[in-house]
Amino acid sequence: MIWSWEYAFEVLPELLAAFAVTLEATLAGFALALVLGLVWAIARMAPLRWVSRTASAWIELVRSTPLLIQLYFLYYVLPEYGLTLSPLVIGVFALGMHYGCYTAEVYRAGIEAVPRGQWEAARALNLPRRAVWLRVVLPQAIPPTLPVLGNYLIAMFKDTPLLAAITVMEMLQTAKLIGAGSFRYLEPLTITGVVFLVVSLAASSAIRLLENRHAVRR
Amino acid sequence: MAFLQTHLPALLDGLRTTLQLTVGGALLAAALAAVAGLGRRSPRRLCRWPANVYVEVFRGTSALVQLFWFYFALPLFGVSLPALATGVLVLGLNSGAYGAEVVRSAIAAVPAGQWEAARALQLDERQALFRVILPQALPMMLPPAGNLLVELLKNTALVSLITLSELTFTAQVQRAATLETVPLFALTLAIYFAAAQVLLAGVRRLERHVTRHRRGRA
Amino acid sequence: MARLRRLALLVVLALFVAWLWPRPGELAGGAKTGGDTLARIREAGTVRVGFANEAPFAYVDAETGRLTGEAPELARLVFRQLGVAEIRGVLTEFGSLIPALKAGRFDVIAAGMYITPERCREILFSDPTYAIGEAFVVPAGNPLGLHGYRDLRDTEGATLGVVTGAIQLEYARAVGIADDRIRIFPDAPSAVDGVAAGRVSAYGATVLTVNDLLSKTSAPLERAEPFTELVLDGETVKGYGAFGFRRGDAALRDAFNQVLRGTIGTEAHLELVAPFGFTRDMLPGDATAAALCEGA
Repeated sequence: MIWSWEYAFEVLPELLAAFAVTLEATLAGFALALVLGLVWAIARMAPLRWVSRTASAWIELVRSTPLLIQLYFLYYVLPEYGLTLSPLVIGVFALGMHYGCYTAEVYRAGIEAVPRGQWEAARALNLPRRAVWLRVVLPQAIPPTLPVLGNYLIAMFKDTPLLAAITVMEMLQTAKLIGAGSFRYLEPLTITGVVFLVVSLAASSAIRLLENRHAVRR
Repeated sequence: MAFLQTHLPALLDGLRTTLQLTVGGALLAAALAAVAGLGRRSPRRLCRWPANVYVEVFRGTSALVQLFWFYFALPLFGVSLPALATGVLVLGLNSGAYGAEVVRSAIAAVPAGQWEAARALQLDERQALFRVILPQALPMMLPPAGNLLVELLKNTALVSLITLSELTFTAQVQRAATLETVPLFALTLAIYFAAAQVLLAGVRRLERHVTRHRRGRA
Repeated sequence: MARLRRLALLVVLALFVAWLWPRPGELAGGAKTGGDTLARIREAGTVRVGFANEAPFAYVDAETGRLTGEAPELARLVFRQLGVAEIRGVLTEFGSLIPALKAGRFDVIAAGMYITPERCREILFSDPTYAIGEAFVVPAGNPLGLHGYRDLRDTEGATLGVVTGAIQLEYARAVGIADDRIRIFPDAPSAVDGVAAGRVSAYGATVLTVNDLLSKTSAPLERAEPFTELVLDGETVKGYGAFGFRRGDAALRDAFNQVLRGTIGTEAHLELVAPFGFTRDMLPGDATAAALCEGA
């Protein structure tokens, strides 16, 4: 048979160890993306023209270009300006920055979906700007966006293999290296695929649960 | 100028392959998204389950892993395709899975009243779907579809792994020859950005065309 | 006016589609294995060779776009005598060369790949065409004073860069350099960039690769000299490069070897590979693939 269970179990520990790196990068990157996205979404709606314009241009630029090249850029250019960070940190930063531009758009859609009346009522009640955002708009804007944000979490999870380009030893890169060394790619790759699948399915189910809970509340 | 003269011809060649992958992948993805999106809504289990499996498997695994699998592992089972076809196939399958969700939620977002009205007018399921619901769902699908299209464009960079010289790989080759890392990546980023803008503009055009009836005398 | 605009749009669209439309021969290249490979490629008049764009072994010349280097030029010479007029390069990552060969994406690996016992278990090698030693790329002035693999191992804090799938990783491990002091780069330019940016103390590669890269870069780097030849198990480690064939293509490999035997070491051969930095002292001598596969 083409598949060797013996070999599969042989490489499993190494792959699972690398999976921890994958998870680390995903969670840290996503946390960053959530925060950055909110910052940029709000910046986009700023009254100051140059702030909103710059934010929009930046979001467009990052969204429209491949993560891979952004990664290379950060990895090789930053040290020339004196910033020497570990590859994992750079990877997390790149992921957060890249996906922050996507979450910004999601937040924007959510914010725009909040009825105008809410804004007007908040203003009529003389609420300070901070309270308008934190207590009126965002609590209504964000919950409907959670499923879509969840989509992006899964997407980011699956983009972590790109970090291999800047020498981060995450799961797929480890699988490739094992394969390159032993010339048996089938088992490492399939195991990697299955692990990605299982985790994604778990995440999707969690998101759907979240979606339903929100729907019920409404 | 000499820089452009040396690198631009090669990069444009790479761009051509990138666009071949994008267009081919997009066409396949659109078809799959339509079929799977509708399939997921079907009351019949025979339609729902394959669609669900397809969407979950291809959303849940990394495009990179899929590419490797189809290109290196599949020949072991007797099925082998040329590199371009494999790239288009995997990219289409991958984006189609995400597209299915877009299709499904756009259709779900059409008010229930429309279905009821269609039924009241004695239209059968298929007529209701194609003549009443889809024309209303289509404009809702287009913005996220534009996003997915740009995602597809960026995913083409991954195809460099299976011996296809698309834009990112060509940039690497040029870099290997002249070691001008930053200018080359900057130029490559600019090309991707321009291509993404053109694609988005096209989708926006389509959006306007599809909603032209809503804007009176367009 | 609107009609003119629509017409212009259609014309642009048509030109775009025409540009993208696959030209004849572009869609070809599905995997082919089995059968009489030599007969097949003789009939086709062209043989597909896999390479990883590593100068000066096998690379695409940036100016002419032509596949060249020690391996492709030699391949052209040999295949012409076997009745196959041209070679067509299939570019891939170094680490993917063997899987792609096995999957039938091309029929010969012409990348100057070293013969190693592990690789011999997967594919067949021709007799070697050259034998070269190792070298390090280090920052100008060699600040850490690194003059060899064992030197690096014994220098505290020194890190080594290698390219994925390349043999230098095994060399490093064999000498006892811990994995957390080795950084794996996706390709040679990245590794060179890595040394220049201070991410690794040195990049280990073949003498020829190092010479070639240093001739192209403007970064303040140099080749570590003097360099202690790497000795493992009492033997000086030399990389013997050869051509790779699928296990089922023994006939092709043997035919290739026959022509090769009459070519290696001749004036014509030396003249052919001189432009790539290969010299007489890099000839493989009487080493054979069989012996090298045993681990001799």
